[in-house]
Amino acid sequence: MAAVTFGALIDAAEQHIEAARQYQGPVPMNPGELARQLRRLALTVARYLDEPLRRTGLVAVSGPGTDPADRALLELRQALLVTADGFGSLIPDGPVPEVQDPCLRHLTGAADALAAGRDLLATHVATNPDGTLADRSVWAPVLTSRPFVTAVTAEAGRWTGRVLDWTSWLASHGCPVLTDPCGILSHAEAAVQRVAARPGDEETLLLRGIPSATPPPRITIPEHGEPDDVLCEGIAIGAERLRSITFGMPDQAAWSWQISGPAWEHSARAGALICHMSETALAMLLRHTSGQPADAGLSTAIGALADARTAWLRGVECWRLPTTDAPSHVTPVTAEADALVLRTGRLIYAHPRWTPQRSKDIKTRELAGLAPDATVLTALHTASDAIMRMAEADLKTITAALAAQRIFVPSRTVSLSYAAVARRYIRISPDRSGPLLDAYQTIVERSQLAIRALDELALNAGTPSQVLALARRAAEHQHGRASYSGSASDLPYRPGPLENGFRKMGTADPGLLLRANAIDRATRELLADARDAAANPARLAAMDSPQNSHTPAGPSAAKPLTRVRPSSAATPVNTAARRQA
Amino acid sequence: MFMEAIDTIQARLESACDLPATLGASWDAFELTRAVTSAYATQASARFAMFLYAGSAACRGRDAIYTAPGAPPDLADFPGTSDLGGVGEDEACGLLAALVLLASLRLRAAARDAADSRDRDACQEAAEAAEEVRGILTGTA
Repeated sequence: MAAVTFGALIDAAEQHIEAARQYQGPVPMNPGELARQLRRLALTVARYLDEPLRRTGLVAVSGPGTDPADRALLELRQALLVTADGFGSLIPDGPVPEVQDPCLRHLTGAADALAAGRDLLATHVATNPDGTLADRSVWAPVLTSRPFVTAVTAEAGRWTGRVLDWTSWLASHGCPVLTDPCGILSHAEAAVQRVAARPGDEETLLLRGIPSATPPPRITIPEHGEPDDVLCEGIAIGAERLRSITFGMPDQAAWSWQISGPAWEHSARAGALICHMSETALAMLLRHTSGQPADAGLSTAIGALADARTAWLRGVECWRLPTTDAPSHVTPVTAEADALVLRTGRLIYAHPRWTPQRSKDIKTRELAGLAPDATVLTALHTASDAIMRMAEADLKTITAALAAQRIFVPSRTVSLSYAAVARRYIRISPDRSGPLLDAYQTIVERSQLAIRALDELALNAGTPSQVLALARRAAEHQHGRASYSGSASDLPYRPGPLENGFRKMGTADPGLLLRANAIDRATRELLADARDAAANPARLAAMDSPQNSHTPAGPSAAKPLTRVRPSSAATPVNTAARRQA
Repeated sequence: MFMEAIDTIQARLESACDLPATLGASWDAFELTRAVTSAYATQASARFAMFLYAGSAACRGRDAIYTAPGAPPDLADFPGTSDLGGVGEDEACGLLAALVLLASLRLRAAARDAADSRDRDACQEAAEAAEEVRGILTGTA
């Protein structure tokens, strides 16, 4: 089962809408239910725009410096909310009737699929108990990037157009839902036309390729081997799972049994082997494509992978002596890394039951027996991307584990004055932890270079995995925008008293409503600051001090053997950024 | 250096007559295996995976010995070696496989004779690791 992506859900919604349009039977004459489903559609599409809005803190639209694309996004969202309100006024009170009409059923299906798409995007962000929001996956930064904002705004505009088309179609068939006393539909139409920036192919690909932060279930590896397509699917799913598991590891460094020296040695070995196998396979492709323009890219990638492999080997060597208070050899990370190694090996080597332990004298496949170039490249790119993410997470986790004093070395390896302590292991000293961190820093840097080389190959070849390259680019380029650190209580879609008052007055002008929203939000900010200052003036001052920067906890804060509930706060609150937003 | 080390450790394993001597010689066998397989892995030949995983299994055997109360106190880490003495991969695999086979036999025997249960467990675990190393190096794992 392949991982569900945003694009798949949009396609499902599209199919429902098309099926409804093809419907030749009598037009539904249940205006209440029609209005309910159209309202759902409009609200769901409006919520697509929440993520870029709340993560970039865009609320004040009337400033002279507001980016036109941001303004279009804000106005479109507001127009959709107003449209939803308009439909809402047509919904009768009382129980929701069962939908029997085929036309309505398809409309409901489309709204369901769109809502699932919205939920999928929301999985990448978590709300902490204190109301702050935190990234839950490597995709979270993509959701603030310009390519994503452009693509999702265009998508929302397209769906707004769909809603308007539907309404017009129903009107032409005499359905009474089309009553539009406030002119709300014309506002929405105008907003759609103002969505000027049309997404390019890459932006659309990026949006469509966003998966859920919840990884798909694991596919068990059968003893007898798997056909190539299943191997590739298994690699894609395994990589997704590995990315997901490793993303949360740094938060667990101080207490989890899954943080273990043997497991790190194990995963470093997997990293080295994935790099080696990728090198081997690319060398085969290079021989295959000899003389073609892709040669230079392949050669660069092979060299970068060799460097990464050497760095991973040094990582393996670094774990020869150090260990942790948890001795586990098998953890969720090693299980996924092993599965990735096994499947990548079976894709490349000429034995369906290849394992690293049974790899002696097993040759690589002949070119004729190898899966198509794009398939192999996708598998290698996907696996290497997951390994690179694992390297980044390992560096953060090791740093945190060192701070928590969870890494030890055998006492035999230190001078007698220390070894006189009757223990077999003692805490690692800074002169030994330094090389360990250096080794992992090198692994991260070399792995990043290798994955960039593979990104180029994937983009040039147009493989399905190119979305990983696009996501990396988008996440890197979003640094100029305000980073995500807002509070859930500050979500811009929550109408305040002024905006509610305007709505009750029947105001449908999106500009007026947006200004009311901005004033409401500023009022909430001011009240929150006043409450903080009244409750704890010292705390407020401390939050603005440099000590509040994102640094790992020092040794004094560490309690290595105390089991504490893990904090889900992956990103500390950046108060300054929040206020700026 | 590699050939000399093999001969020395093999002689020590053959002549080991008590638990500390067996554990000490087995420790050196594992350490030598780790160092040599690491050196071959660095060359990134077609047998990269085999050397990488054989080295890891050797580390497990070595660490098991470290937990035995009967292990000698002067266990020393074998220095990393790049001097393979011109020994080819096939020959090195054969030599190391024979060495760890001998170590596993001696460790099994030591496990039977050991009075302390922790020594028994350590010897058995180390013997299993030695057999795994041998299986990987001979392609029979």
